[in-house]
Amino acid sequence: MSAELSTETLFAHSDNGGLAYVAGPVNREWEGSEIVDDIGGLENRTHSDALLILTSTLPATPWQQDALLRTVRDRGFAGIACQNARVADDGAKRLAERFRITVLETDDPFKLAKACWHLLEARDALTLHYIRKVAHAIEYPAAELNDLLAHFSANIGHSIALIDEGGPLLESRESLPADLHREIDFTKWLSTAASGRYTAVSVRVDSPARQGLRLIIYGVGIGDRQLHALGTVAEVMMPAVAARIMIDEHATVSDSAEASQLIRDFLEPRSRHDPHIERRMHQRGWGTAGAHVAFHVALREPAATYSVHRAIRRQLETSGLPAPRTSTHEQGVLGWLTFAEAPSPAALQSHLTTLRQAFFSVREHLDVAMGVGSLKFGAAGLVDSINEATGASRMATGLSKSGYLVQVERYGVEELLLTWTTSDAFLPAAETLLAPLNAESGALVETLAEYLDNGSIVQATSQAMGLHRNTVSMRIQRAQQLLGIDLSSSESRLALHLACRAVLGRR
Amino acid sequence: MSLTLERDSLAALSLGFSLFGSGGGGSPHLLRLLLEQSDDWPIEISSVNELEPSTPCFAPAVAGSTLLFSERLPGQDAFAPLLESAERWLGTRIPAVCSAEGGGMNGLAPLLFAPGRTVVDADCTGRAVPSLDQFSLLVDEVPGLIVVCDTGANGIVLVQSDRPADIEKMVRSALVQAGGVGNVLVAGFTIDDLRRHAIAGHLERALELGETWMESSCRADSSAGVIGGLRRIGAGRVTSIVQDLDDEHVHTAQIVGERGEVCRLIARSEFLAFVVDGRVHAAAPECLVAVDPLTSEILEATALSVNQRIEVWSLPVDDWWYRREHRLRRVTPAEYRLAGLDIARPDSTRAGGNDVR
Repeated sequence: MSAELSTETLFAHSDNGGLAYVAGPVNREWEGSEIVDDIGGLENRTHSDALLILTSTLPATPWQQDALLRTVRDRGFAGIACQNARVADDGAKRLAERFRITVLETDDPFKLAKACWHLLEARDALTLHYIRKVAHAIEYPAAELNDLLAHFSANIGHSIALIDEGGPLLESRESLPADLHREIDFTKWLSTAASGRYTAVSVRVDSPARQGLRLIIYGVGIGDRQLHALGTVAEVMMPAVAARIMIDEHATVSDSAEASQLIRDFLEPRSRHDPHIERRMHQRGWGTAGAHVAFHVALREPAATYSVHRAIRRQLETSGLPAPRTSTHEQGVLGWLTFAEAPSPAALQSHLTTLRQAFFSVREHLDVAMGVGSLKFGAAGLVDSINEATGASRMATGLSKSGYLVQVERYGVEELLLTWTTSDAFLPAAETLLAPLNAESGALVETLAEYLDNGSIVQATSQAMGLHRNTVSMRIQRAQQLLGIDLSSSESRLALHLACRAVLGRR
Repeated sequence: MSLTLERDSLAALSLGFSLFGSGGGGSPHLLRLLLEQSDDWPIEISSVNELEPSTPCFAPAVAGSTLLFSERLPGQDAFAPLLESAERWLGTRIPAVCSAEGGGMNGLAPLLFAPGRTVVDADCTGRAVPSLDQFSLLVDEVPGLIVVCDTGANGIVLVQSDRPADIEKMVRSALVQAGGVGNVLVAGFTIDDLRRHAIAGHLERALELGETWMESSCRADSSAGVIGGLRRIGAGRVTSIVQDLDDEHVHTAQIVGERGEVCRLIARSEFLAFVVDGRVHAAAPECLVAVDPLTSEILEATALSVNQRIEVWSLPVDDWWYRREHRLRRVTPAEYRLAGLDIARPDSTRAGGNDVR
C-alpha cells in the first residue's frame, strides 16, 4: 500500500484544511480519496481503502452517525473526514474502532481534498504550492535571519533549522531531534534523512561568511513526495538564507565597530560627563544609571572578534541573565549586567554563577578567558567595573588553574596581585630571575624572601629566621652579587619580592 | 366467536399488554389490581363479527402522564361522567366497549365496564402510542367521532372535529388542565367501524402472547431467540443514555452488545427503534421490548439506567398498520421527526437477522 496518503502525511501537509483526529485507527494509509456532498451521492461501488471526504457535516444524532460509518465501511472506505466530526458520540467512536475506520475532522473539506491530490497525484503541484508559500514568506520584512526562518516555517508549515555538524544554530517551530541531526549527510548538496517518525530534507548553504551550514526542513510524517517537493523548496530558500547571513554578518560587524567605538569613547577619562556620549549610550539602550557588573572575555588565540561576540551573545541570550549588554572591546568581548537597584548578595551570586556557566559553555568551543569586575554604581561605577573586568581578563588569559576566569569581587587587590604571580606567564620569569640564587644555595632565596617580608631590615630578619645578623647580611650581599640587582631600588625590591612569593609558593 | 376471560387469565393478559406497550403506555398493574377485586368474573369477550354492525361502541383510555396516573389511583366509576356525556351528545346508549390502546395499561380498560356493557375484542392501536390522533379510527378519519375528556374538578370537554390533529390538541390541553393525566373516551362509532378501521382480536392475541411468555418459564429457552411472535434482537449493557439535542423527549440508550456491537435503543414515550452497528434492526410500528435478563421484568423506556444489562426483543404489530400508506406514516419514527430510523420494507425487517461481525 502506498504511504503517500496517510494520517501522518496529511497531518504533515501544511494546508490540510485544519485536520484533526477524532476516532478509529490513528495511523492509517489510504489508496486514494474521494470527495462527495452527501454519502447518498456515492456510486454504488466499493472504494478500496480510500479516504472519504464529505463536504457536509457529521449528522447530529448518534444513530445517524452510526449509519454513516456503516455506509462508509460497506462502500469499502477506510476513513472519513468531514466538518464537525468532533461531535461524534462515544458509541460512534467505538463503532469507528470496531469497523477500523479512521474519523477525521476538517474545517475545510476542499482544502483537504486538494492536499490528498497533492500527495497522491500532483508532485509538481505540491512543489509549486510550497514555492508559492515561500514567495509569500519573502514578502514579509525580516529583521534578521531568525525572522526569515520563522516566516518560511510558518508559511510552509514545517520546522526549519540552520545547522552545522555541531548541531542546530537556529531553529524555527520545533527543535531538531538530535537523532535526526546525526542522520544528516553533510557531504551532499541535497540529502534526506529519517529517524523514528521524523523525516527531513536538507541542502548545503553556500555562504562565504560561514562554512559547513545546512538548511533543513523536518517534521513528523512527511512522506516521500512531500520530501521531494520540500527539497526543491529548500533549494529555493537557500540563496535567500545565504544572502541573509551575509547581510546579518555585515550588520553585525558594522554595529560591532560602532559599539566598540562608543565604549572606547565612554572609557576615555576626558569624556566623563560628556552629555553627547551619555545620549549615545542611552540610544543603544545602555543606560548608565543603577548598578553594574562588567565582564570581559578575552581571546587566547587569534579569531574574528565579531564571531566570538556572536557566539557569546547567543550563549548569554539563552542563559536567562537580565538583558546583558555586549560589545567587542580590546581583542575580546565586553559585557555588563545592569540592575535598576543593587541586587542582594544572593541574587548577584546567582547571576554571576549563570555568567560563569555561560562562559564555560563558550569555552567548550572557543579558547577564551574571562574577567569579571565588581558591582559598581552609576556611570563612573560602570567605567570602574569595565576597567576591572578588562584587567582581570588580561590576568585570566594566563591562569589555567583558575579555568581562565578571574573575578575581582572574589579577591582583594593584594590577593589579586598574588594570584597574578602564580600565572602561567609570571612563574617561568620568576624562576629565571632567581635561578642564580638557587644554583648556589636554596637558603639564599629563603633569606632574601624573609628579608623583603621584613621591610628589608636585617635585625628583624635575623630574629625571624633565628640566625645571626651577620649571616643574614652576608647572604643578602651575596644575593645582590649573584642577581646583579640594586636592592635600594623600590621597583627592584617589589619585583624580587613577587618572584620570591611565586617560586616559594610553588615549592 | 366469543371468549370467556377468567380472573386467572388477568396476569397473562396484563403481561401481553405490557409487551405491546413497547416500553410505554404505562403499567397495567394498577388496573389489574382493580379488576381482580371485581365480582363480575368471568367476563365474556365478544368478537366484532358476533355483534350487530350498527351497535354503537366506545373506547375508554387513561391519557397523559402514566407516572401521575400511578400517583392518582382511578376509581372504578371514573369513566361514568364521560360515558354519560357521550351518550347524551349522541342521544343513545352505547352498549359496547372496546380498547382504545392495546398496549400498556389501557388494554385492560374496557374490562372495567363488564358486565354492564358488551366487551368487544377490537383495539384502536394494537400497541402503545403517544397521541390520540394515532388511534386507528382517527387515523382513518372515521366520520362522527367524538372524544370526551376530563378537565379536572368534575369538568368535561367533548370534542368533535374532522381533523384528528385538532382533537389531539384540544384533548391534550384538557389533560394539562386536569393536572397532566385524565380519562378519555372515544365514541361515535359502531361495530361496523371497528371491523373496517380497528384491530380485531387484539385482546385474544395479547392473552396468548402473555401466556406463551409466562410458559417459557421466564424465557428459559430464550437462547433460541424466539418466543411466540417475539424475537430477541440484542442484548448487552447500557453504557450511556443521551437526550436528543432537538427533541428533549427523545433519548438514545447506547448498549454495548455481547459481541462488542454498538447498539442504540431510541425512545420517546415508547421505544421507537433499535439500531445495531449503524443498521436499523427494528422500528415502530413494530413493538420493542426491553427486558431485565435477571428479573425478567419488562422495562419501561423511563426505567433504563446506565450499566443496566438488558435484552431487546421485537414484536410485530398487526398488519392493519401496513395495509395503507397513510396508516404506516402515522407510527413510524419519521412521524416523530426522527430521521434515518424508518424501515422501508417491514417484511424484510421481520426476516432480518443480526449481522454483527
